[in-house]
Amino acid sequence: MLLYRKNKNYILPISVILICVFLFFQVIIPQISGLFELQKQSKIEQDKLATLKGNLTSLTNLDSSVLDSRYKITTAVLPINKDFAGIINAVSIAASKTGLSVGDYDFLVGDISKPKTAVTKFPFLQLSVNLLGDITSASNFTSELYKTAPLSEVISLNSSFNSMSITINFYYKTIPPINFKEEIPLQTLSPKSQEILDNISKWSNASFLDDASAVPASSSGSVNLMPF
Amino acid sequence: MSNYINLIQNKDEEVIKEKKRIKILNFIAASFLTIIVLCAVIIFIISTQFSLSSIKRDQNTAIFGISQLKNKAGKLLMVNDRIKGITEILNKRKDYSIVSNSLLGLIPQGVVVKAFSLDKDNVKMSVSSSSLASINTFLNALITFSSQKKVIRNLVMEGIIVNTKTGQYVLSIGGTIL
Repeated sequence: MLLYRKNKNYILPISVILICVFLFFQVIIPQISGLFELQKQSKIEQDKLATLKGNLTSLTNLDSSVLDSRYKITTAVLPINKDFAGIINAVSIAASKTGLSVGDYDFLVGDISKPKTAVTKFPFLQLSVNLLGDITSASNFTSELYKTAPLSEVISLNSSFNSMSITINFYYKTIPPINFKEEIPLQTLSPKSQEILDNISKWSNASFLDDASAVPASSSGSVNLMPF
Repeated sequence: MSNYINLIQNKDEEVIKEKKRIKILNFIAASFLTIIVLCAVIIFIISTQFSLSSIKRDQNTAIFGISQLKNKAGKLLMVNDRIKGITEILNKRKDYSIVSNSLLGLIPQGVVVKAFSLDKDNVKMSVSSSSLASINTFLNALITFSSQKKVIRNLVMEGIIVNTKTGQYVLSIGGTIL
């Protein structure tokens, strides 16, 4: 009691100091570190917002007709499935431009369940075609075919007198599962891609498009364009 | 002896010292309290600056806007994917027309191509002429061309046949495409 009386004036300030020290270490310091965390989180969310806004702007500014046109061209050049009609058209166009007469066709479809792949991972449809004409025309035919949709690669060429047999791989690429996420930046065409697009848009038969290859609409959160 | 002892004065000094101590302690306590309150206020103000709710609200607005354009986005991704594929194939496919045009460009007057074949790595060619000099010119041009190693390498002369009935020389050559 005596001790209390003697020191009672010290109790309040010392208690306040101790409480303040306790609050500083237990509340203020964690709050400050939390503030840094919040700042970091805020930065992440701001970046995400910027990406979202960028995507929204890109999509809003993207002309639907231009996009449709690009889609048609790229799908004609690299079809989504075995484009028999496009292939026959391409051969006919290249042959007529180079003065060759087209003979027999022979599509080597192979195992339907496991499409053959070449160049990289792309499946292809192999066509053997007999043509009537000289070797110079055959060479021109190859050049012309390389500027005609769908995308092809001459695998072999056998010419004897005025007839020749050419084996051609016509590439296609099935639609990959495209999971569109809003927060991932959408890539606009790079100058190189634009150059390629400009180049292939000049190809013969590039406007050819099967109606079945139209992109299906999706109302869900992610677009799944895999039709198979 | 007792005349030198001044207890009253000592007591006053002690009281003054104690008051001073209490005053200092009170000041320190007040300062601590002020610092804590200031820190709390500053933290509160800063944390309102980094408010995530407004960002989230803006994000949701943007996501809603994008969801209205989902078909466009899908098509754009498809176009990008096609162009990537086209670029890959274009970069890797072989253009045999370069090989055939180069070889055919070497053929001199009076020499006729009888057979020509190309596959993944090899090229074969048979030419005929009634003039051995023309065949020789072609062969020399081929050798020069092959030594440049731009289109073909490993040029091999597979044979030269003379048809005595027609008087035609037939030259067969082969090479590896680069």
